[in-house]
Amino acid sequence: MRSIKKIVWIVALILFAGNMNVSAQDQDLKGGNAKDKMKEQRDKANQEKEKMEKMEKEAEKKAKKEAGKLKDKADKKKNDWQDAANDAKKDVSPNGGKDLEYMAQLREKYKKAKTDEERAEIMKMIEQEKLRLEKEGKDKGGAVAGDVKDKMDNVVKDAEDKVGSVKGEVEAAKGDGGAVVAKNDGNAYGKDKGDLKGRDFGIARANEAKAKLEAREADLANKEELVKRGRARIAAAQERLKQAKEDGSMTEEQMAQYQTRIDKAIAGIDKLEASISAGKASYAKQKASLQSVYQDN
Amino acid sequence: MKILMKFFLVFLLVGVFSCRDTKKEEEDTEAALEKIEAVEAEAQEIESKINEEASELEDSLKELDSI
Repeated sequence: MRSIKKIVWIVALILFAGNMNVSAQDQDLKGGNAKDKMKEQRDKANQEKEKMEKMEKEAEKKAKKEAGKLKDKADKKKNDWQDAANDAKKDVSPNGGKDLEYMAQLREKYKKAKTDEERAEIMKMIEQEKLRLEKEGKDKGGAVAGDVKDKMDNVVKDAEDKVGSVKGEVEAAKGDGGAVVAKNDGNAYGKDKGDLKGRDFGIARANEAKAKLEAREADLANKEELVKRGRARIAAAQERLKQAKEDGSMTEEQMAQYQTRIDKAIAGIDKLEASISAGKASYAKQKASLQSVYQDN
Repeated sequence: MKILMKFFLVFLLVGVFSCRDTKKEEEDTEAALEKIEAVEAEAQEIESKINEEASELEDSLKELDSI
């Protein structure tokens, strides 16, 4: 009886060992295939990574170049307007030089005056003239300064928009690079996920996707800012056009052309605003979807 | 002999369950990754569209400055 038991056990052990062997082989095969696949993906990812790094560098270079150009342009415009403002200041004070001559004459008269009454009279005239010149200078100077300030504000806004958009491109390039790399070998945001696998890798990937989604949401806020500024610029352009209409300084054709431009800008701003709203809703939905990928994530 | 049998059974159970778990986990991970990638692709598309529209708007706004 004991020997039968022994035989049964030996047979069972042989079967078990065989089963384990087959299972191990199967796993090896799977593992081998997976390893090959992983290697292939890693190579691909490395290539993509290099490509993205190159793109990123190029985009950064472009951004720097663009920012430099805009700065030069802004400086040039600033100088031009400074010159214009200086010219305007020159224009407002002397009234073609006549006011100064008149003042000089009054001062001469004051010096030559013999009686106190005469001096008082001339002093009164000098004071009146001073007040008048001051007032005229302020009015004209203030208008010129306001104009220069508006133009400067526009240039600064343009420069900010442009630099913001180039920065956005750089960020997008960075984001794309990160996504490709993470997709293939799990490297994302500089964190090595090479050792992570299975569920841990999935969780890390979901967190990374969520972080990217949050960055995109932040970018939407910048776009909302652009919409706001755009509306202000459109309102200013409409005001200028209205002014030109009243002054009659434009032809009908020019006015129609400018009105078309304004309409185009309004349509563009409405379209962008709608896309931003839709984007916000989609991002919120996607965020919820990512949360549900790993509930305990 | 009984001890050996117990060890053997435990070993067998652990082997079987670990194999099953791995497979299930891989499937789950794969499904999750597919879902994440789909979400990212959609988000990327939305972002590109918005960036394009913003760029067009910037051009239109620049045209207004000459008025």
